[in-house]
Amino acid sequence: MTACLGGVLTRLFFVQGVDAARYAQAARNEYVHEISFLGERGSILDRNGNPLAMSVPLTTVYADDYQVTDPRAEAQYLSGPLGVPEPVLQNDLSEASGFVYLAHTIPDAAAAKVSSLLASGLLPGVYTMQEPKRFLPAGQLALPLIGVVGTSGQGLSGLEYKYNRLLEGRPGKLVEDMDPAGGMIPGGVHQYQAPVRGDDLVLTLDKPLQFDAEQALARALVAAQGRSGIALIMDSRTGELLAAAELVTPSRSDPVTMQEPPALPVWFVPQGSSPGAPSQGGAGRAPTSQQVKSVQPVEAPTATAFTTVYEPGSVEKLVTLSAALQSGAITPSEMFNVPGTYNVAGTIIGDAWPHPTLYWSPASILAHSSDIGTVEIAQKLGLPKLLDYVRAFGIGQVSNVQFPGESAGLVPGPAQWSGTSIATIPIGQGVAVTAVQMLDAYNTIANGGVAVPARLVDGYVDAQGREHLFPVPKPHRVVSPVVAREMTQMLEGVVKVGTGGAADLSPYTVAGKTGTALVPSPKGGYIAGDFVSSFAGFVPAEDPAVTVMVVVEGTHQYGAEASAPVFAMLARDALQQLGVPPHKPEPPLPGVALASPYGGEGEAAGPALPGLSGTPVVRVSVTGAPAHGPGSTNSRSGGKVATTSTTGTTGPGAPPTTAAPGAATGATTSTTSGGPGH
Amino acid sequence: MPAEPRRGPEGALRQPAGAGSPAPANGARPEPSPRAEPHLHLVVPSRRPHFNRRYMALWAGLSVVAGLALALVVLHVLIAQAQFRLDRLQQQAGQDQAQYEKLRLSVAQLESPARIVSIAEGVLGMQQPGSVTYLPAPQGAGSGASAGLSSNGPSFGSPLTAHGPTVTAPPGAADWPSVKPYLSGNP
Repeated sequence: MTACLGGVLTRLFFVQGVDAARYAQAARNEYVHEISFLGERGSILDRNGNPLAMSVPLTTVYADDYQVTDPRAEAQYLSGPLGVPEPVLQNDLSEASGFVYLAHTIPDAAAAKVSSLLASGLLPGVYTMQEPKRFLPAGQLALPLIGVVGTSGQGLSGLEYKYNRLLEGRPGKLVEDMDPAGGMIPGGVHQYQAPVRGDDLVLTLDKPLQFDAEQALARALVAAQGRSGIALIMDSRTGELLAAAELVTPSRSDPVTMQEPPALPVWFVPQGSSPGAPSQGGAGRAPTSQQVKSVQPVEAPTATAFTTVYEPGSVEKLVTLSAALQSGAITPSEMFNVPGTYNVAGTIIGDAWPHPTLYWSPASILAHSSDIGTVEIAQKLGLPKLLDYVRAFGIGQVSNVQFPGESAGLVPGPAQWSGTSIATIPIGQGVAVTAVQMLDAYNTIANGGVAVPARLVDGYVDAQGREHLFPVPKPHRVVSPVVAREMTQMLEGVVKVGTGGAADLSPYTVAGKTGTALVPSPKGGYIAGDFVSSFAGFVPAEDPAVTVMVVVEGTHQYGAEASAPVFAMLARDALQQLGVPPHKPEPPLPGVALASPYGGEGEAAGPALPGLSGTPVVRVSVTGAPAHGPGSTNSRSGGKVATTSTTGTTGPGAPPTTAAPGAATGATTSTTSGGPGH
Repeated sequence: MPAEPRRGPEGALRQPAGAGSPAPANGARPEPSPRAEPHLHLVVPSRRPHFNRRYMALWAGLSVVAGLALALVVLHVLIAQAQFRLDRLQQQAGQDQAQYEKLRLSVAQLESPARIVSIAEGVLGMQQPGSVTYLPAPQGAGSGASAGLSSNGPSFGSPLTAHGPTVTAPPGAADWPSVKPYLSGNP
């Protein structure tokens, strides 16, 4: 008896004394429950506050399988509403783990059915809670930029990844005493720490323009049978990206369904529409039946405008000529003999079209995208200086956006130079850029020679509704205003009389440049007939409002055909969206030779854009006096240039106006367009 | 023999007059005053009042304890009721917040450009215009007030008209006569 009493007392001593804390904690664990709440993820908004991505709480069903009395019966009840096979549910409900998810973020209709089952007491041990789910209310619009979010609410790619700390918010916590039925014990422990909602990220994108850009690019990809494409619209003054469309054409061997949600075709077929008669103009046209049957582009798996490099081709000539003008290697009125072929370090290069020796100004060289003329200019400049300017224009360094995985581009260093580098880099081969870098370069000229860094994120709005703007990077000058104006006039000539006629937006004045680059082969060399076709420019040239870049990769068409019409569409839509009227054309700069027309150039203008200017009729006036022949003066030396004289009419296919050395070169162009009444 | 205390009408023992007054300093017996004659009487001591007070105190204490217990029970009931109400309100607030977020999502989905264009072109039969018509601002009109154009840059006025902007009549446009006078002869 005494021994028993001693044993009991000893046990009591250990239970109540030595192990008291452990047992007390075990007891608390039975009735004290701690529940964590995810902070609602902030939205991603466009520049006007329209949500592009947002989180909405939906019902998640879970179970405490210790409390489940009949796993089979409950699995039968839940299988239908949750859409989960009964054996799977039965297995989950029998795990004996204390907590098991049965279904995440189910639709409201299913949640209502589960709630009614819970209310009827048929599902002991089954509970529901609210969990946020990420939605893209505008579909997959700008998905490569926005990125995706994992099931745990973490950003996995794109802006969701880069700004995850801002967006994710802070989780909340509830600690309370609960009875076995899951109800709170009144008067017990109750500590509630509310979750803090994440901040809303405000982008510079404009949702309608983004939609326009994706639709227009999708059409272009199908028409040009391109593998992928990029279309960028930038506010020239601020560097804000208004649209960034990045699409790919999926193929069976290269599926692009790695993203969540799965990639869907960019196009849609409106109900009741006649697919054979697509409307013209802005965005959102119904595709033709032929287009519907073809492989439709989908959103690219990554933001290719930032992450993918390509050899830019002739759009790079802007950098070459700007560098030559800025460094004084050439003057805008200087004339060059442009032969049909040209020997550089033992390699014979030629233009894209055969021609006799021409006598051209830099403006004509640029307008007709002469590789030989550009190489001659680059030789006067020198490769080291050229590469200095290439870097000064932002090529070879990541943009201000610093997008996750962004490429800096590839600019060869001195160790990688070869004898033919002076023949390839000036024309955009042997150097690799991202589309945003090239857009920045053109925007530099649009801003009078000042580089205004590209911006994609404007700021954020915190949980209290306060707006916080991200600091705007300081612009810096790359070339002088005079050089920028001269380049602008030369780029105008590209559209007026050169290869970029399809980008004409009369009565707006467009300044831009076509580009057609060969695609490198993995086996070395380049793939014949496989191009990266692009067009970059800004409008109105007199006071640029938007800078646009269009790239179609993996096509057999030139930039003039594949990309210039898309440029015109996007520029027109952007100008309408921004309410920018046409401007009064500025008179030509004195001392700057205007581009002269030439028939039969390689980068022939594409078909006229329906609804923009009809069939363009370009009237070109050629001066009779040799104002810019050898020995002539220009504005830098105080000379005067004749700008008006007799008129000759020409256009694509017209007799070439190739002039011998000393012939007239100072030309002025005026553009009129013929509508139905003309 | 000292005077025997007399009983009052109520039987109360009255104290003789001067009994409470101090004795004269010379020890002489004070003369009884006929006016201060006490009404003395015997009072039979009763034990019931003492018993009643304790009994009452006990009952009062018990009542207080019972009242306190009842108040505590009521307080707990009120707390429990308030807790249930708080739970319901929190649940309702959560549901309303979720509903608000879902309505926001619905609005955003309804404003989707793809949906708007799909309905406009597919259901309503609307088409993108085949051409864009630019109206030159009337002479003297401010750039920002002309035909809804913004104030960016100079107005689209006579200088551009001289070059002949692209102006085409929308096919079947009913308002063409009212538009034409602004086109300065083009076409």
